[in-house]
Amino acid sequence: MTSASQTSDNTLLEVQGLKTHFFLDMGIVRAVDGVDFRISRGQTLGIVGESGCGKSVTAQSVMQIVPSPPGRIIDGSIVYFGSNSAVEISRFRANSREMRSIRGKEISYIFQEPMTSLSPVHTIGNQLEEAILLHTPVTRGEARGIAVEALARVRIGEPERIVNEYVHQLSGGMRQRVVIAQALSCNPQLLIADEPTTALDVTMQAQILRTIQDIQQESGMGLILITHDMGVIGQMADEVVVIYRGRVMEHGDVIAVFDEPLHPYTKALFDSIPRLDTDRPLRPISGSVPDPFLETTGCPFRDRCPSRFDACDSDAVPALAEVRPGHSARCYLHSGATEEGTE
Amino acid sequence: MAMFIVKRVLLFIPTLFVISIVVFILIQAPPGDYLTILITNMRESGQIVDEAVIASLQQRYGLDQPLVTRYFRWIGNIVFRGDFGVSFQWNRPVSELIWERLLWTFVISFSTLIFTWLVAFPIGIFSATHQYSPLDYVATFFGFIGLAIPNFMIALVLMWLGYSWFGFSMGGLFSAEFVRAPWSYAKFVNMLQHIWVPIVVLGTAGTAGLIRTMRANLLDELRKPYVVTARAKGLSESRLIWKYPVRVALNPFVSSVGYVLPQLISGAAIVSVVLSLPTTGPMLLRALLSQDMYLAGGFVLMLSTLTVIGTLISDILLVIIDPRIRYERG
Repeated sequence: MTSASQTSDNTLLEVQGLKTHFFLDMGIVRAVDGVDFRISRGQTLGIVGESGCGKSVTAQSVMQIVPSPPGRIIDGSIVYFGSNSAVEISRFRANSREMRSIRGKEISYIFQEPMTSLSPVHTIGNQLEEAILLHTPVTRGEARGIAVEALARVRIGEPERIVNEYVHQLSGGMRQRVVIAQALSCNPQLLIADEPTTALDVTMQAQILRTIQDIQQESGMGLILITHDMGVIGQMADEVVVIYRGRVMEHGDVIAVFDEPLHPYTKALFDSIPRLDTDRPLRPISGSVPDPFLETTGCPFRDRCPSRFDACDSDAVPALAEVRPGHSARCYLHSGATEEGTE
Repeated sequence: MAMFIVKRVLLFIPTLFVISIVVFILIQAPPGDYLTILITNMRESGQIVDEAVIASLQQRYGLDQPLVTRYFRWIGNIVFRGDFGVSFQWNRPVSELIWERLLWTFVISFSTLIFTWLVAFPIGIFSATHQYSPLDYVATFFGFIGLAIPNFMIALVLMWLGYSWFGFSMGGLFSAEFVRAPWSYAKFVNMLQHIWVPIVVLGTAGTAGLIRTMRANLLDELRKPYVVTARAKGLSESRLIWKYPVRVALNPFVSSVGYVLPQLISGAAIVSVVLSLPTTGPMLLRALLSQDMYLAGGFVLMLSTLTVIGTLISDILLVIIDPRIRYERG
């Protein structure tokens, strides 16, 4: 593999064969059922898919903050290439010291809901300083200084005042900035942003995304951006991973995927974006995400697929095959290869 | 903050005024007046009633006056002289009777409160963080039993067990030989040997209820995104649970502090009767049963005042622990 040398230089995180299942009374939900991706330093990887496709669980698995029980990572490896050496973080127990020293320091997470992801009864400063004091050998006073800087970095005016305020005193956009400041306060190598702008209006969304982009350029951190919004991906990402029912459906360079989406699911996602420049009626993806308790047989998308043909009747899951260099898809239209052990 | 407290204390005065009117109307509600009851009682017991006494009593309570005048006489005596009137049954000033019993009531009730919190908090937190684990089921089981069995029943069972197994009487706060003895180390030890019974008995229902509340509150809070945020920062489980969800789950407790004060006086009446404790509960019960209305009225007025004070305390505490409330109040 040519990527071997690349791996040691640039790769920040490599996820292989990740499976995270939820063991509920009603059955097993295979939220993530074999996901692979890789992200390099300074790169932005977009993860897209419908609600419930496994985007967030994938990201939470990397942090090992999947609600457990019932969730559990049952297979796969997550390797983090830190400043010194590669560590397989999927081997750590969720609450182990090793895992905690990576969380918040090396890898940070921004949550979907800025309204509720901050504590209502602690000051902004208190919450920011907590992570700083935990991960860096500084005094309380120095931590306060770093917290103020972190707020200034995400373009919050009057950060000295804001550190003493409570979350209910801030607007939605400010809250999300605080959440971002908190995630960035320890200068992480990798930032995972899970729908960071979904709860905000369009103007605010653009500002927040620009702020994240600026900081990424300054610091050279890797960014995993999770969204259902193809527009955000087009604006932000270098590479894109399309997930459906816990599996990667298509993976490639963002320009390649946008210019010529290979998988019918990706095409359908593009078609379901409302557009102002044509009179074309909006085409939603027919059907809905199937019952999550059902185990997938065959192609996960075949029941909703407009391009279904004879080969799709196979009960083997199609493999994620490289159709063009650096651009792969899991579809019988492009490759007859099947995943091992699914036939 | 200071403004808020001043405002609340000023609001106190009209509230208590209205309460005192309601209490007085309650005192006056039964037919007949108290003097006739007193005279009847004295005559029944074969005493000769002195006309001069009747006249002085009549004047003291202003029973020949209209209702409004009588109310102001009553409340005026309370406010300016601390005179709550005389208990018919005990033939002693009401205030004396109430204060005498208040000390023990406070000792027992505060010990019970502390016992309850010390036991219920850790168990509630454990139950919530280890939901559906075997120990959670054990705590839930005993929690429901504690809620379901009336306290006086537990008191009776404990007393019976204590007597039949150890031959030791659990009623009261002291063994017979110490009741009238002056304070000494031995008397103190003897008190400790007795006092745990009412504390445990009075504490069970409260503990059980508190465990359930803590568990439910905390389960709600544990699912909030800010808990996951704290986890994503790299905090250890125990630190983040104590700092965030437990802190937020405290609110309902603090707001219930207001009800604790009046319960100190009235809540444990039946258990106190069963365990023959020298607290205010049994006295209030007897005053109500025998229509000793000035005594009962004094108690009710006191309970209402304590409820108002308790509510004020819990409001102030809430403002201190929860910034959202602080700023809404401005």
